[in-house]
Amino acid sequence: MLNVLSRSQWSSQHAAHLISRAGFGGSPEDISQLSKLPMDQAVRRIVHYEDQPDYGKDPEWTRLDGSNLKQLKEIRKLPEKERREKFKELRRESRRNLASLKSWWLDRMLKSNRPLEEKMTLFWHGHFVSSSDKVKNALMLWQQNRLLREKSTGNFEDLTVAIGRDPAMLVYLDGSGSKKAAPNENYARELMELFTLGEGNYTEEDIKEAARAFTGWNVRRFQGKAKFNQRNFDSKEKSFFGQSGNYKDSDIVAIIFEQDRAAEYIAHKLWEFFAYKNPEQEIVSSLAETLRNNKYELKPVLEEMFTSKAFYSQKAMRTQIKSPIMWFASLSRLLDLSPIPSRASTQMLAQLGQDLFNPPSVKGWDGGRAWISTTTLIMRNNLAHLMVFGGNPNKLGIGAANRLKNIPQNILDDMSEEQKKRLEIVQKRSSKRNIPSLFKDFDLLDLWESESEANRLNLLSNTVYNSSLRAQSLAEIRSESEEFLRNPKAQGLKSTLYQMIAHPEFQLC
Amino acid sequence: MKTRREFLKSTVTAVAAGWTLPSFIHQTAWSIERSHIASGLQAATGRDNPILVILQLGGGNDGLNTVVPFAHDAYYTARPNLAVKASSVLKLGDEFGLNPALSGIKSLYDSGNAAIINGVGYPNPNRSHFRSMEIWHTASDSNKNEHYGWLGNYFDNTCQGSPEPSNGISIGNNPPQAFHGKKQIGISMTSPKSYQFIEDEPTPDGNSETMTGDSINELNGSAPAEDSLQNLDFLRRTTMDAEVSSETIHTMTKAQKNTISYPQTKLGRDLSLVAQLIAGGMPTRVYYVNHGGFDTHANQQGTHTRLITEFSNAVSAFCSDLKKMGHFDRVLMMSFSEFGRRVKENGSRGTDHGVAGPTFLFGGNLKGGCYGKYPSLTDLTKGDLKHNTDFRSIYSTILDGWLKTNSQSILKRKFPHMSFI
Repeated sequence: MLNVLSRSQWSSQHAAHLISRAGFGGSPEDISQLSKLPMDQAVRRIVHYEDQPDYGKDPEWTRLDGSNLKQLKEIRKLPEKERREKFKELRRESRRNLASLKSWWLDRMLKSNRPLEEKMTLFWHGHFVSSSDKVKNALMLWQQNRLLREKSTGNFEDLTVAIGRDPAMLVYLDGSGSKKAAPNENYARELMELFTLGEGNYTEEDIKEAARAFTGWNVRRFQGKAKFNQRNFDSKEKSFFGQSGNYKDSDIVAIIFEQDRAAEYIAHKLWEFFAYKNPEQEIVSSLAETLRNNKYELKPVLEEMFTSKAFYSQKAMRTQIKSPIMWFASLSRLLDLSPIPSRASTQMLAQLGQDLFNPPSVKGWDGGRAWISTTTLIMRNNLAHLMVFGGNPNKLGIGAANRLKNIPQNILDDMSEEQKKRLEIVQKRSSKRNIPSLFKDFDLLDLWESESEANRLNLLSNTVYNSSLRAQSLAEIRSESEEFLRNPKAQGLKSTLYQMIAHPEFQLC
Repeated sequence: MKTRREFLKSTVTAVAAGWTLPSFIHQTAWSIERSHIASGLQAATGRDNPILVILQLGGGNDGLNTVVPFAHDAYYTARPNLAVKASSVLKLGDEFGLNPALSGIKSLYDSGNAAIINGVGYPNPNRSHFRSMEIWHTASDSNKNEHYGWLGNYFDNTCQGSPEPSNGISIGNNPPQAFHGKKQIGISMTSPKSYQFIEDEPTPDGNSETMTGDSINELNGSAPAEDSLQNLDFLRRTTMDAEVSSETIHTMTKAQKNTISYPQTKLGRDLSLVAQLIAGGMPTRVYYVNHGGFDTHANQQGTHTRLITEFSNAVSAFCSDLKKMGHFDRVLMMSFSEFGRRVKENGSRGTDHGVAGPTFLFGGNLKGGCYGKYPSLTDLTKGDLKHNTDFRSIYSTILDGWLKTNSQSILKRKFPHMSFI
């Protein structure tokens, strides 16, 4: 077991850290509430979230009533030209659904009463990756998201077996259609390389043998279902990690989970996701032992992490680079961003490198410093500027008109003439449109007006950084904002606020 | 329950000073920024310097269906569904030739502006995308892990004094691992228009606007090494690089226009931007462009044909544009993929990860032709082709012969030169 943080050390800074890593951050009020609980109770409340009510409803279109299957049968009977049009329409619908799915999830992440459930779902989405670019089916991606959420803090081995039979995964890593005559190795390789053991902890032979155990599956795209067909399954003997038997998929997973490396691999990844990169070996070993002792149940290991002294060490606190989602969540809390069309929000995330349901590769998002480059930093600052002051996004190449200009050919092909005309109109209109400032925290403005110049900086620093801004950064912001601090009007507040969120330190949580 | 206003008010008087002191006192980015901009502009006189453009074909390009061994029965036996018909191959001799989708590249080859190196790989090949990409990016042996990229080492080696962030520009959201050096990691951008801080005056219309978002199969190698530099210092440095380079890029690209129209594909747009930056006189020595999606495990035919068509059309537009603008002679372009694919097709009309593959070079000032040896289709290792040219021989030729630096100090040992330069 890792050393536990002593109860007496628990403070509001610790509570802020917990909620920003195990969730998506919190308002000063949330943090103050959490910090009033004893540390172990605060952690319990985060990890054992089942008694908190679930948030929101499933998207309308995910309710399958069998009518889509009937529809497919009818479409198949149509003459070719009409059939093509119908398929175009279905593809358009699926794209619309995908866009709605992204917003639906972002909304959950920002508002769920069970932040860890969403944070872990996001962790698994970046771990057991399936991307819309290849899967091209919103229904299956939603089903996968539901599976990841259901088992997000359950049992890692169960989840690994289940994901191998998940329709979106079967499509993404080519398990669908893999037959005994010539098995497809894609899934077997990534299962070991990226999902469970890590590169170098298996042989090329292990991959070839495991691939045989994953044959027999086929995905029915319209129903979003995976079907197993015994005839296509290679039921013969396989030898895997020095053992042999007539293994099927779950047997292969069970053997993988017998390897010591399996627990270490995921422990390492969890620590990097929640605390910091390159953890000490003692930390990884301790978490791995907890995983093995609990047969890969995740809650004990999560509790161990969140109560450990190391999790609240200087190395961990306010040192993690915010992902685009975390960055957006913190801005969203500062400025009430709910009136931004949610579609614009998810597209903004995509531009910053975190396109939900569409990670860049099977390895997911690298996270950490990989989120930051000169171009993404400029974009983060510009987007923040637009939200605080308003302005024309298209002048900076970040608005709707630019996006519309670069619609991929395959999507244009699926559009009707009427839709293309409408698109042109939207394009023209949006290239000139200014968005208004989204700042409307009038409570904060009242305070700004009534506070002394000296206190104004503290007021904002407390609101934006929960008083945890480093002294040097605060001094830098003060010197950049001297003139604004003297201005009791909204412009002074907004300008100082922008200095706060444009500072490199805002990129950390 | 306190109201929000009361709550905020109660926090104002609380201790506001930082609860951790910066562990590492850093020179403030803001104070040295201005002098840096000036030096960046002065360095930008390198209109005659040789330029290298790297085009990464991410995902593992099927080399056998790119440079097709049409004279070998073993190829047709191994690929009953996927083989390219001998009659349609654009022949480069009696043995192999180009996929018909590569007609643009065939023209470049015929005019002596393309070199094709067959059978490129490295000893003890790794079939993981990520590991193999890292090996290509860091030029390491396959059993060694290196943090820094081969081009990052080149930047570190060549640039004395303060690092110039725009030595390396990658098109996209992230610099590739190949750019990561001890002192700098280069910059990345998607369009000059979005590459400016909002406080600055936006440029008038005229620049092409490329959007990201469709980052299909991006493979950047590992994330920047978490070395002794703290994340906050890393952020300060990147902010400074962004401030400096956005100024430079704006001064340089204001009036640049392409001389021809490019295909409306992501690669076409990215290469048209590179051409603008070159013509604008950026001091940049290396550009990096991605073309991903080559991981064709299933139903390969359509996808692969589309990808190599886009590749060929965009490259040939880029070369014509550079020629017209008078920069073709000082540009060398190299395209590579992290590995080729298995000789035998799989049961899903696709191919699994393999080993050796072809590397292409383009430019106005290279010795065109075919290099290396086409690997045997019958003498295989576990179903894979055997490589006969180490990719680091290509790197060393480029470093010494083209970038006029010392390859040995960058690649840490000597690799035999090839004769394409």
